[in-house]
Amino acid sequence: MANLKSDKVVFMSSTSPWSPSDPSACMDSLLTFAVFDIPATLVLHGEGVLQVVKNQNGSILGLKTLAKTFGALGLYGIDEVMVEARALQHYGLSMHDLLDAADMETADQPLRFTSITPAQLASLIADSKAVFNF
Amino acid sequence: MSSFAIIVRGAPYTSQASLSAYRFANAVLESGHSVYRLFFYQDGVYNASAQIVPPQDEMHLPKAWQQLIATHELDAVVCVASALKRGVVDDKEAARYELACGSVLPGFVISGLGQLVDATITADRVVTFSP
Amino acid sequence: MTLHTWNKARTSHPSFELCRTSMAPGDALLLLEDGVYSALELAFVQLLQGSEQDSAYPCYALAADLAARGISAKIPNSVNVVDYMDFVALCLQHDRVVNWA
Repeated sequence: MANLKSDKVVFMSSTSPWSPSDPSACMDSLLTFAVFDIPATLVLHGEGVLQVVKNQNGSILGLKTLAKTFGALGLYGIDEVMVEARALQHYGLSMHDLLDAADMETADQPLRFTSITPAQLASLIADSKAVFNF
Repeated sequence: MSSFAIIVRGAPYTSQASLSAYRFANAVLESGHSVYRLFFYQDGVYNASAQIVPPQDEMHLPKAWQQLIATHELDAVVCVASALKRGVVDDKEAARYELACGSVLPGFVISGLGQLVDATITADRVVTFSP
Repeated sequence: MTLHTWNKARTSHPSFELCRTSMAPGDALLLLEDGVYSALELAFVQLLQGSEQDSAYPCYALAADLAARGISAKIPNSVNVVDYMDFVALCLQHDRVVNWA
């Protein structure tokens, strides 16, 4: 049986960055796994892809900007985030519309966004110990 | 025998998540398997509240969880970050933040996300109940 | 092999679409809570039968949730009615459990 001994985890997030609890709960959990050196992959799907659209500014509404937290992922050894291809297409977004170095306030290599298909997600899931979906 | 980590992300009564999780936890134990840890996250922390007054004709879910935890000596963790922002605090946190009082049912332990990591890696299966 | 769980009343939902399209051979779907209402949807029932493009997957629904909602007699035979002990067994027959939506 595949990967009963796998220690990898997958975090999926499907809510808009302005939804109350799920996006930051997902991020906090993801980072905790990373701190404990457990390989963790983040997959943004559905409305979740909106979390990484560039030029967000919550201060206009007096709110925190979740997108800024993506800049910290590199510090925790996460340099790639998967984004659901179909969701990007649904919102008419391309890779050029996603966060760049300026949004993430980092001088280092910006986070890499990689499009993921359902078949690729199936492989990721099959290779993991557990999957969390926020 | 296999071990389960059960994650509860919904508050009692505002969705069916907690009730499903409770019934599932019972079934795990009745099947002769073990519950490695219960992890209450986000709104799930409300299941640990001593201040909930349930609707009259419904079971008292927080107390049901408390009973299950006590009977089987389960490790029931309530995520500290989720708990603080929702006002589910134990006596220690209440004193620290100079709040009116502690409000956690006995048997629930306030702790961090590290417990979720440990449970995920150690238990044979991780099952999440979400609103 | 993965056990996928669904608890929303309709499958016309982007998360369900991703769930469905990312299912692999050996995977199964469990409907619980309001998710059991999905078993009434014509589109979902047709999906269960499979097609040239998509294989059929075993689908289970929790008995208590069906009964509480008064729809036990209205779901197709292709949906297997199970109780919580079966749910536990299903978790162990699969390598992991993924909750969607």
